[in-house]
Parts: sequence; C-alpha cells; structure tokens
Amino acid sequence: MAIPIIAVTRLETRFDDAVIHRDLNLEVQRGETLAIIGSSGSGKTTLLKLMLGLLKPACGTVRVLDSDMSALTAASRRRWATRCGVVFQGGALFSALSVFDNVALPVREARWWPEELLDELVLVTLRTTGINIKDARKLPAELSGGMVKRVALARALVLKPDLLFMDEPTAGLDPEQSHAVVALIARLRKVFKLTVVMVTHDVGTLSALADRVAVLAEQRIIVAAPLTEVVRFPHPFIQHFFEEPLERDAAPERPLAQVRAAETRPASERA
Amino acid sequence: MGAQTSCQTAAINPDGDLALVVSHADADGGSRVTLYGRWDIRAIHERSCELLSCLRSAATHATRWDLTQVRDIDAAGATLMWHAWNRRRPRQLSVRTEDTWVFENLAQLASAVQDISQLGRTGMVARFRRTAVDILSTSVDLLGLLGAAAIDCLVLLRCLTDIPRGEITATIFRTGAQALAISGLVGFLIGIVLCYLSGQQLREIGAESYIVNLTGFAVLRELGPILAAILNAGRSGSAMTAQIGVMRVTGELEALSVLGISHVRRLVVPKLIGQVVALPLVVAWTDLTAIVGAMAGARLQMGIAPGDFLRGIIQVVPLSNVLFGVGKGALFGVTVALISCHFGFRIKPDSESLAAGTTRAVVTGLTAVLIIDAVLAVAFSHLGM
Repeated sequence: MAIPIIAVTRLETRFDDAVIHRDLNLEVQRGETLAIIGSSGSGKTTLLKLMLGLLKPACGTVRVLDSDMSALTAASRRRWATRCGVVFQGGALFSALSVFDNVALPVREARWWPEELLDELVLVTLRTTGINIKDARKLPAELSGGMVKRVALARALVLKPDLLFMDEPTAGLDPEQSHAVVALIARLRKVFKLTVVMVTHDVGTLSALADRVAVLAEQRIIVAAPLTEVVRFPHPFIQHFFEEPLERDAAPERPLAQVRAAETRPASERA
Repeated sequence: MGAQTSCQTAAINPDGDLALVVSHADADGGSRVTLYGRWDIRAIHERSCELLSCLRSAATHATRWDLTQVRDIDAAGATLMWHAWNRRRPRQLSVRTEDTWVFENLAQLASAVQDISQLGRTGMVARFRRTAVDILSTSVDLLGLLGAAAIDCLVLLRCLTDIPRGEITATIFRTGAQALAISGLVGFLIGIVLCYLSGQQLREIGAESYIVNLTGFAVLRELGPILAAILNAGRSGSAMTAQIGVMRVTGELEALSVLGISHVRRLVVPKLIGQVVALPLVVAWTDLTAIVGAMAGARLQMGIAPGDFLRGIIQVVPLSNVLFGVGKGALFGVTVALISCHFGFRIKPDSESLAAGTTRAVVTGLTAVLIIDAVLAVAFSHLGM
C-alpha cells in the first residue's frame, strides 16, 4: 500500500478543558480528493489547522508530506509550505496588496523566480483561475466573493503545490458562482495533479469533487469512504446531513438526489 | 531533479525530471528544438536563468519547436519559453493538447503585461496636483463635518432626550480620566526642566526672581494647553480614527446607514462634546502638575519656598491667562476630534488604509493644533499681559 500523503494517528486536541478530538485517525492518499464534513463546532477547521501546523495536538501525530507537523523547524517549515496551498474560508487575501501582489507574494517570498519574469507567471496563473487581467491591480476589497475565491486559489497554486487545503471553498457564494468554482477546482486539480483536502458543508461540492468523504462526529472520524457508501452509513448525523438539507442549507434541490445521480454516472465523468 | 546544464545533447534521459533543451538538425536543413523533462516552477526555479539563456540560444536558429516530450509544464516553464520566443508563438510548434491552455493564456497576455507595468506610474506634476486636490478636499470635508456636527448639536438641543449621554461620558472618561496619569507626569517633568534650565540663565543676569513670571506665563498660557493637546492627539485622536476605521472595515458604518442613523450624530457629536468637556479639564490638570514641578525645581535650584512661588504666580499672572489656556484646550479638543473623525471616515476597508489613516489623523491633528496655537498667540498677544 502506498505511503499516505497525510497520516493523522491517535490525535487528541484540547482547548483548555474542552476535548475537540479524541483518538482521531485519518489517512489521505496521493492524488485523491478528501472532503471532511461534520456539524458546526465538531472540529473540522481545527483538524485542518492541525494538518497545516497552525495548532499543536495534545496527543498523537499529524504527518503531512512526510513531515511530523509538531517537529518542524522554522527552516523546514518554509520548505514544507512551498508544497502546500491553502484556500481559507474568507480567502484571507492581504487587504493592502493588489490582486497581482497577493499572487506574487509566495513566489517573491520563496525567491523562486526572477522579478523580470514574474508578470507573466502571475498573470497566467490568474487567468487560469478565471481572473481578468484588468482586475490584477484591484484591491481585495473591490472584488466579489467569487473573485476572492479565485484569487485565493491562484495564490495557493502559484508555486505548484502537491497538496491543496480548502476550508469551505463555496461558502458565501450564490449557486451559480458556487458551481463555477467547483468546476474550476475540478479542472485545476487535474491540471496541477493535486491532492485536495477540503472542509465543506455543501453536498453539491461533495458529490462533484470528493473521492472520499470523512465524517467528523463524536470527536473522531466515524467513517471515511466514497460518498455513496457514506450516505448509507447508519449514524444520526449522516442521516440528518443528507436527508434534511432543505431546512439546514435552504438548498434548491434535495442533495441526496444529487448524490444518487452522481452515483449513476461513471467515475470519469465525475472528475 | 538535477542541476546540470541542459543545453547539450549528451546524456539525455527523456524520461527524467531534468528540464532539457535539445537541438536537432532536420532532414530539410532546418533545426528542431525538443524540450524534455519537467518544466514547472518546482522543478526549474533554481535554473530559471540558465534555462532561459539555453532557450534564447536555441531560438536563434530553431525552425521547429517540439514540446510533446515535456513531462509537465506550468505558467513558469511556459513563461521562459515565451520570453525566448520574444512573446510570439512560433509558427511550427508541437505541444500536447493538455498543455495548450498555458500558451493560449500567454498569447492573450501580450498587451496586458505592458499595460500592467505602466499602471501606478505617475509624474511629479500629477503627484503635486493630487496632493493639492487632497488638501483642498480635506479642508472642504472638515468644514462640512463641522457644519453637520453643529446642525446635529442644535437638533439635539431641541430634543434633549436624544443626547447620546453614554457615548459622551465614555469619551470624557477615555480622553479625560484615563489621560490624567500621563498628562500629569509629563506636566510635572516639563515644569521641573523648564524651571531648572531657565533658573540657570536667569541667575547669570541676576534675575532669579523672574522665574515665577516666566514659568507662570509659559505653563499657563502655552505649555499646558499644547502638552495636553499633543498627548490628546496622539492618544485619543488615533483611537478615534482607528475606531471609526474598524467600523468601516467591519461594515458597521453601512449598518448605521441602513438603520437610518446619522454617522455624525452617533459618532462625531459625542466625541466633539466629550473633547470640549474633557480637554480643558486635562489642560487645567497639566497646568497644575507643571506648576508643582516648577515649584519643586525652584526649591531645588534656587531655594524658593513653594508657598512664595505660589503666591508669586497668583500675583504676577492674571487669571485671564489661565482662562485663555483652558479655552484653547476646548478649541484644540474640537480640532483633534474633527480631524480624527474625518480621517476615520476616509479609511477604506483594508489594513493598510487603516494604518495610513491613523497616522495621517495624528500628524494632521498635531499640525493643526500648532498652527491654531501660533495664530492665537499672535492674535491675543495683549490679552492678560
């Protein structure tokens, strides 16, 4: 069996007295897209932050790209960071920098590319994520929600990472924008040969992108399997998540129908 | 991924990761350049200059380019080729279907790259014009803000129950009570320094007794109000700008507008009233601590008893000087509050603008206070003399 690109083993996370994760185990294989779902406050984003080394676990290990996240030195962390792209929920674009400079920042910081060749590199990356060149000098405050996501994607991908983390990639977008962003991610993960780990509440995103879905409940991963298997898993949260989305998300369609429709399509089409 | 030079044909491993540029002579007499290996930023970033020079050298004689052997290509690798091709797609180019997107994007960029490098470059005349327009618009906006605040104050006087007492008392507490310690310390120390240095000079000409007149006039008429105003602009003025700026960033200003609540009435008027009440009191407090400092200095330097010093001040410094200084405190309070609020409202929803706006508010507030003080000193030079 191949060595997983991410291996979380016997993870325990605490905030003061509150236990967030207990005996949590999870593996992500190279090239797959894993979606993490769970109720609000279940610790999905915390798990993502642990994988990024932004938090330290109370117990257990988190290994990402062959590095133990608790043992990374500052220098090795800088090298490690060039292999990971992150799209935060709100984009986390630097508000004082233009779109162009936001995308150029990782390249400049890594000193990977001559300044005189940077224009084309950044602008092509922006175009790849669907940003018009005329918008390159805009500030993040002047962008729509969909454009912020696209610029955040461009910034995450400009160093051609192996691994892409996304926190709620379609949160706050209207259905049309949401579909466009999902289609973009589906295309980019092929072009960039990415392994993707994302946290999402959107069943449409799950069915369109996820090879496997990990369900975080009761402080651990209760199941990590393809979506078609997860929807049959006998757990109240899963039943509630997939059966009663109208009340929760005010989604226009019943997502379970989407999942079943996706199930009937061949795998190649789903990518 | 190795680091060896890749222009030569020796030791080619077409299946390796190393980016290679290989030239062949074609049967028709032309030259075909074939690229091998990985041409993504991760693989080539250490050799970008070397590869660009290889590509440029190959481009001088190449009639055909073959990119079908490339294992991986991204915007970075394609950018190198694009520069070697003088930003034009070669007439005979073989490329894998999955890699065409990057060259299509580059072809569409050709004009945009030039445009983007021109953006943001402005001449000296344009910068001067922009500064002049900025000063003019700031002055007009400040006058407008003062007018709006005056109208809102009149409206509030007609309906006393609408007066935002909570905000006013909060401003008085922050700009007044919380500033007592620092303004007291500064006043006391300045009083000591002033008395010590002046005393030395006065002793040389045998005019030690004038130390009371000098420190009394200087502190009560000028130093007290100016010190209090400088501390107020740095401490409270920056806080006011930052508060309104953060409200802009978090969308609270829009929320107030949507609720039909006047920004001026809710945010500016309480600060103005609070400053008008608090700053004269802070000036009086600073005067007092500076006089105490001067008394201590006079005692240590010249052996003048504190009681004699105090009696001397009461005799030689008319009360109108104290009132003039305290009155200036109210005017400085209004100036600092208006300027701070003005720059707070001009902040855009980004962190850079917040920092720049706060700095500009403090600098402009201090400058305005000093200009007003100079004008008043000349205009009222005979008052209380």
